[in-house]
Amino acid sequence: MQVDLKLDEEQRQIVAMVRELAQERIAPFAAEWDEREEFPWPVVEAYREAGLFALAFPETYGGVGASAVTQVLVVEELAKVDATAAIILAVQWLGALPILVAGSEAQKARYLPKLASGEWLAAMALTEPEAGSDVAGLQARAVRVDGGYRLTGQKKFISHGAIADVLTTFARTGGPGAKGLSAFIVEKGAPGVRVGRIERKLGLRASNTAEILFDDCFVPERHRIGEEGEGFSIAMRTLDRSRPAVAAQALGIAEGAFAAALQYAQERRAFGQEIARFQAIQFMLADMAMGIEAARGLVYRAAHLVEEEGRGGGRLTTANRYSAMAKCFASDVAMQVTIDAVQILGGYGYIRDFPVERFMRDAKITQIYEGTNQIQRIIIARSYLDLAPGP
Amino acid sequence: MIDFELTETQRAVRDFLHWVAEHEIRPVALQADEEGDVPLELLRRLKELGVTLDTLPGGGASGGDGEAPEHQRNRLAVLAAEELAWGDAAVAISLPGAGLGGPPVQLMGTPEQKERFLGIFRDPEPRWGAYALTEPEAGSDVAAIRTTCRKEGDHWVLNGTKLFITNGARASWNVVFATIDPALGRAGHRVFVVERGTPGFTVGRIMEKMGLRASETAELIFDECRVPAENLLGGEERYRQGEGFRTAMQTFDGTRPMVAAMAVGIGRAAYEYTRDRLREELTLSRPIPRYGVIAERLSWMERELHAARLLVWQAASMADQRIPNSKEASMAKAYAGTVATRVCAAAVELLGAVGLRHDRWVEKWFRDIKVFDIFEGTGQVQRLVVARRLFEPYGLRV
Repeated sequence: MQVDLKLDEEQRQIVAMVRELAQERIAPFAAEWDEREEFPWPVVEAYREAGLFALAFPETYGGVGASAVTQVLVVEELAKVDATAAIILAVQWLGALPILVAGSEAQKARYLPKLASGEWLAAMALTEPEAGSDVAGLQARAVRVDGGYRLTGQKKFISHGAIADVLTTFARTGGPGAKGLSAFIVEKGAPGVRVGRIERKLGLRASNTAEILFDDCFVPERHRIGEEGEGFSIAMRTLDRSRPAVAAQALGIAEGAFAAALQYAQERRAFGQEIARFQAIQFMLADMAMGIEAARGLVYRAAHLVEEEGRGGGRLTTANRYSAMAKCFASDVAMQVTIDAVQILGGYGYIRDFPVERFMRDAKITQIYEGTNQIQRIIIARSYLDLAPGP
Repeated sequence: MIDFELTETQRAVRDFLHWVAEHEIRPVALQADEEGDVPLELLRRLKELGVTLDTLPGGGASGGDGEAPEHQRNRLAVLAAEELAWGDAAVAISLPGAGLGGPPVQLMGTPEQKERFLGIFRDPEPRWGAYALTEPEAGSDVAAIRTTCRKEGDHWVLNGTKLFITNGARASWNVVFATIDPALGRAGHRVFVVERGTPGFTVGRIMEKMGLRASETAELIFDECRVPAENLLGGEERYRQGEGFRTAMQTFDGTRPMVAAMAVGIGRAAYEYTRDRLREELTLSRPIPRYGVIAERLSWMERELHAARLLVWQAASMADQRIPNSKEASMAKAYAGTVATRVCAAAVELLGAVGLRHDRWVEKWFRDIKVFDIFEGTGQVQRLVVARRLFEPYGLRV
């Protein structure tokens, strides 16, 4: 049994490069982007230059073919300074995954190279107003017409929805339930696709979260991903692979907040000494550190299992249990750690001069998106239980 | 010791303020948060209705029907604080009146000073007093303040910076804590009323915060600020036995239950909103397996807030009976701050969980609540106060 979490040489180099990029091109500006609630295009530019988008794509399509573990290391490193910047990578990869796991050769050749370079941005449009974690309940419809489909429906909370060049989306081609769904690619500017409201959020304020409206939007048949009725399976195969990145984002947020709290506790003096000398503060720091280390183990393990099990494009089994654990645990840790970091900084934690209040606002969504933590707990429990399908 | 039944007066005050919170405060709260300011119009209107912070703590924002009966002032104050914070906490702490500056003037001021500084609140225009204790390097550790004062003829000269001062810039006067010599510790503290426009007193910046964004949080700068000797609260003879520090602390015995009550009010707002939205949404959609979990979470929210409220009522009730309550006040503050923060976090999560429409209320409450575990003494300091009181009978010092 191997239990070391040591990075190999290549991973060390990538992480060091990403750290430098984060310090120089993200950290100094993150507070301002958050304040203005503007999508940080300079980050996209920096990733393009550094070739970061390419990490998750196969070499055949202009990618680097980095392992899932390397991918989460990069997301984690970015989230230490800015969760919005970190999610830009994760969203790009998420948007491309349906094509990666189930796309045709032609689809892969058309989209993946441009997504790998970052020339195009991708988004996955799955969630609807009445269907979040409950994917089988999607209501958007795709009606077959000559040469393709006409899409009608509303997608909600779509990260990068308003700025993506390529949307991978899901709609109902058949009856109710999981078997009636199909997956599609919709390109920016297609007639009948419109961006609705841009959401204003508690955290990840600079990130673009939009409503997408399909109104009789024509999608050619060649833009259907996989077979008709395969949509639910494609969505699941995508989410099977994307959860470790969200877990890594949460882990990075926690680490960023912990570092800030650790530094402040050693500088701030009260009652004649550094507050780090008080047991109350030490206990908080110890709990933060334990949570982070435990989360790190789960996140890396989940990524490792996704890597091992995820070749080919099929559904994952063992990896899902650990992805759910990693996502749920790391995001719960991120929430508690950021709340405690604000607490340790006291009044300074509550004002915008320090990044910890932003970390706390950003942490909350990691407990919600990519399947709420309630859903993750159900997935975890069911992976141990042997139950017949319920009512 | 506690009467769980509210009296007629208490119920009337609570119901009136709930009406005010719902019909006057809520309609402007989101915009006030967005703009980082409470509209003066609202504050004028609230003052007309008799809703001010004049008499807190223990004056009880009594809804305009005059002085509250002495023996239930604190209980009325916490009922008021919960309802107003339920409406909007930033508005509640921006209400016109002496605010936290009132108690030190009441406790230490000469009759002449009380009239001079508190008399201005009879004016129909909104006016504020403020309480300037915290400094960049001294928060919960009150004894560590470094703002200095020295006597020069018939003036005192103040030098230093105060930070995180609620209503500090709009206040007609600030109660300012300074020291004649930091080496003297608590015995060196002096308490001044510094009026706006005093030479050498300027407002630095207004601070940008995560929550309570409509509330004004100011930095105050004293640079060779010359304060007339008659503005030293209570006159010099009052300070022989560390009166300044004691006053700072006594203020908190009354205000901690109020701050705790506000935390309960915010938590309750988030809980009720979540409960109502979920009830609406879930009956419309088909059954989902999370029902059981959601019910459990909602009952947990209600339970924790209820427990926090009872701690608050106990602390307030003891204050009304003149029973020393610093342990109970600190328990209430520490408990309410912690659980209300968790309740607001749960509200965001539960509403996110069912894919609800984006809604700014829970987002705002989640940002607002965190500081309730920080200001008026952090949760850690509250726990320390409780621990000290617990071990005192055994002669142990914590």
